[in-house]
Amino acid sequence: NPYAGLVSHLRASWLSGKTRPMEYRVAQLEALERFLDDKKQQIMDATASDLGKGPFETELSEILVCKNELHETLNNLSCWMKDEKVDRILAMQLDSAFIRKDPYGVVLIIAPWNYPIQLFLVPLIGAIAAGNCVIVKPSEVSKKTERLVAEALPSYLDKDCFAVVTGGVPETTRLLENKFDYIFFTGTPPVGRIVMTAAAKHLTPVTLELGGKNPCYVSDTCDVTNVARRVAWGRFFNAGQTCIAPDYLLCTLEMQEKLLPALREATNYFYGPNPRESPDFGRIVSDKQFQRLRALLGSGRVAIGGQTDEAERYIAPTVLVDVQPSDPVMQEEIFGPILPMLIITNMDEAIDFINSQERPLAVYAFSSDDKVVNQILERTSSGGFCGNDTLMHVTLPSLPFGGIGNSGLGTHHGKFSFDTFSHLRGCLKRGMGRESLNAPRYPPYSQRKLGLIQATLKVARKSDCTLL
Amino acid sequence: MEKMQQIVGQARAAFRSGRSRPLEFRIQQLKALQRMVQEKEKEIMRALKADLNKSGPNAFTQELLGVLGELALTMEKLPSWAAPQHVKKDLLTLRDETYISYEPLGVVLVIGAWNYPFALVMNPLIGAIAAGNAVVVKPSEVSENTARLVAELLPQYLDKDLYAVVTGGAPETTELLTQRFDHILYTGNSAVGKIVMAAAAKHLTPVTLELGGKSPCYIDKDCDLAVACRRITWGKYMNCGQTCIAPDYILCDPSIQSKVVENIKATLKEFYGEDVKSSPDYERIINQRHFKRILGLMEGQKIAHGGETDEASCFIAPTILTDVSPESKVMEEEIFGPVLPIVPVKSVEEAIEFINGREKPLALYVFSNNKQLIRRVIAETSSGGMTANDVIMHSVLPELPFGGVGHSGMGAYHGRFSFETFSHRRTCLLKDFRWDVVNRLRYPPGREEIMQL
Repeated sequence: NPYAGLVSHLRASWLSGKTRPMEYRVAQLEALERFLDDKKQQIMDATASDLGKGPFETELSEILVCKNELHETLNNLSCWMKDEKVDRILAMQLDSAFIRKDPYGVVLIIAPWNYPIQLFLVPLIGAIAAGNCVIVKPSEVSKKTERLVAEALPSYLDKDCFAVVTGGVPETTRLLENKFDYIFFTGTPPVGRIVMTAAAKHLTPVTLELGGKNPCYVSDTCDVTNVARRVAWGRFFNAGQTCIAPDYLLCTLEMQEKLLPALREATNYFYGPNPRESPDFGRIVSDKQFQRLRALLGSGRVAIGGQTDEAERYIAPTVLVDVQPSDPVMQEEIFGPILPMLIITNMDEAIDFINSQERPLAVYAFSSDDKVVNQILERTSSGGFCGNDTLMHVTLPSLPFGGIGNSGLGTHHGKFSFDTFSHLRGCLKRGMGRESLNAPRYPPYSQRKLGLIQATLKVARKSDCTLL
Repeated sequence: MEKMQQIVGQARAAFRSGRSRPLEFRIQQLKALQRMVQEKEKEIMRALKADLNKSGPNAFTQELLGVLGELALTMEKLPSWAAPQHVKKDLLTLRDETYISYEPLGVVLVIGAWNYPFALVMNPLIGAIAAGNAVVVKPSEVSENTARLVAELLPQYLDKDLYAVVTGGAPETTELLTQRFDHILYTGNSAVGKIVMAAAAKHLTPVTLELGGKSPCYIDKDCDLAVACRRITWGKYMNCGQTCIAPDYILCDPSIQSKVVENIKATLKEFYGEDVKSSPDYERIINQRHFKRILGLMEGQKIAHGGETDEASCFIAPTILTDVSPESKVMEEEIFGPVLPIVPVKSVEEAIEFINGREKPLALYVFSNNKQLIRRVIAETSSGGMTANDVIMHSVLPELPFGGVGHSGMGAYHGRFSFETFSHRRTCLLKDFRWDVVNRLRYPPGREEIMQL
């Protein structure tokens, strides 16, 4: 077991208690901010090399998001760490009852390649804030970023408590043989199953941020220009390699006819007539992903884009029409700059279609009619929901981010990260006195004692007539 | 296999119909459960007596009272728990609606245990219903009378399609676990917990595992020993020691060991009289297999009190073992019986080190007049939950989450934690079409000046 030594070293540090004091956690978090500031240029270069990510997108999705999480966490850490006092029943009025936030111990964070900084750093912030020791396993697919993280990060954090492990599937498999106290995984559902199965061997709790096909319903009553912009932005950001990107569109034939020119215009506005030359449009991360996506272009008919360049791993912002639910592009999460449009005749049909699929990470609905947006919201199930926009629901740290069913389990962001990496421990501190109050609970039992217990322990409905 | 598929399929179809979603429906089902507990009290107590030799008042306090409390609390609070939670907005979302919506997960599986066979099926069921789910209940076959009763009663009071009961043992449970659920709550031991989680992993089903372990009880020299021992005796020997949060073993200074034994002995006499076997308030071991197991744990140990057994009636007298070695068999597994080992330790540091050298327990107990010491024990250990200067009681307060950590489990329930466990917190952001001016900032082509904003 090649990682046994590392894990036991971290566990020893954990048991020493050094990650518990708030000052320690704050120091580590502040060091993370320094990492982001000092290494900003290297981060830009690495993500540009790995994903063709332009400086604007990198700044927004890798730097700013992380800094927001850091600031939100640092601003609130002392409050989040406090024992949470709870209401007491009559029998415990003189006791102290609270929820203590205990760190789990040694946490493993496995990150994917699409937002290679954000998707390890944001959970890492939560894990550190909650007082854990952490092993980070960045993705080997985003090679330059992996190397940057492995080389630079350890010098910012306490080496006794935090480590970076690199490698691919074989290394990750061996790493998962070890006992961790929490595993946070971001990736695909099949690998999510593998991670959870490995976790089960040690009874390790997990959060799995997975994916799926995020439907985007566009009703007949909407501001077509705005819809096209918001959808195109969400779909083509990071060349479509976003777990919460709108995966496919559902609309009527009439709406499709209006949307296509609007989408063309939006794409042109964003990336110019030749997106390949735009510094703002990304590239596909690997040859394997490129081949996979190129094959999907065969579904339906290309209405916008469709150009590719293998050497650059470039796929143009593309919209497909005449797509059937049985087509290849509708069988897997696209994770690329391809937007299929499926024709439906009405909202009910759209809802039925959405509900016939696995529950996605996000559901999007566009309509100027609030009632329509609410119908889609109420009659579907998904990790999160955004009405009249895409992606934005995950930018607010006060909202939990996570999936349901095949798209994942657990949540994080903001306080939800802190809670995810904390064990909520129910604590009751009683006094040794007033033993006579305990008398009714002791044998020998009697109806009289029972009556007394009922009176002091019971939680009455407010509508009951009682002395309380 | 088909039978399981059919039952789960029926529950899923019933869930899809949407009828479990309106709050009125859920409260109506909970009211029906309340009626069931009130109307069938005698039958329930009879089943508990047959399974565990639980006396009437005991059965009521241990099982029915808690269930009635959960029902009352849940019906009272459900509207506020289920209400959308609006959250703090930022500059970009000022004009939008931002909230968390609590939604049902779908079809929930509840697997009960045999030691509190009624409560451990009912309490999760209450939470699952309250959260709007369909539920499949699998009571423990070991407490067969209660299992049979639950299977008879639930369909009489609840919506038959939404809420189903499946009975059977390991083969039936294994089959059931191949089906897809949207959450599984399992109460039982760690070994089976691993099997449940592995089965759940195939479907990416979230799980709540209420497991067990050895819950340590540290008695400081500075405490009211008589009171401490009375409370410990109550928690240890209730239900014949078959309680997941019973104080499993005692850690104390060797100088007070014999006083501890004396105090517990005196309390036992107070509780159960001279002849424990004839006390109506003392339960029995659930079956022969566990009886033999516990007997095995006592082998070779110094018995300071008790030790009498009667195989025919699965009776084991309240027993205390002294000077127990940490390496002995009785210190390896959760005892789950009326045998209380005392392991001498010379200091609270030694006690903390001892506790931390083992798997994280479900509960942890510390008795001391010294508030600093108590604070220290809490801060330097980890456990599902804990009570200072008493035992069991942290599980009685519905405002505290009840669950384990590490080997003792994952997730929690009771009160609003049940509701949250069986709900999906769905993030909702409802934007306006107007104000795209603000959105323009985020669209390409990207410009440096905008980044400075």
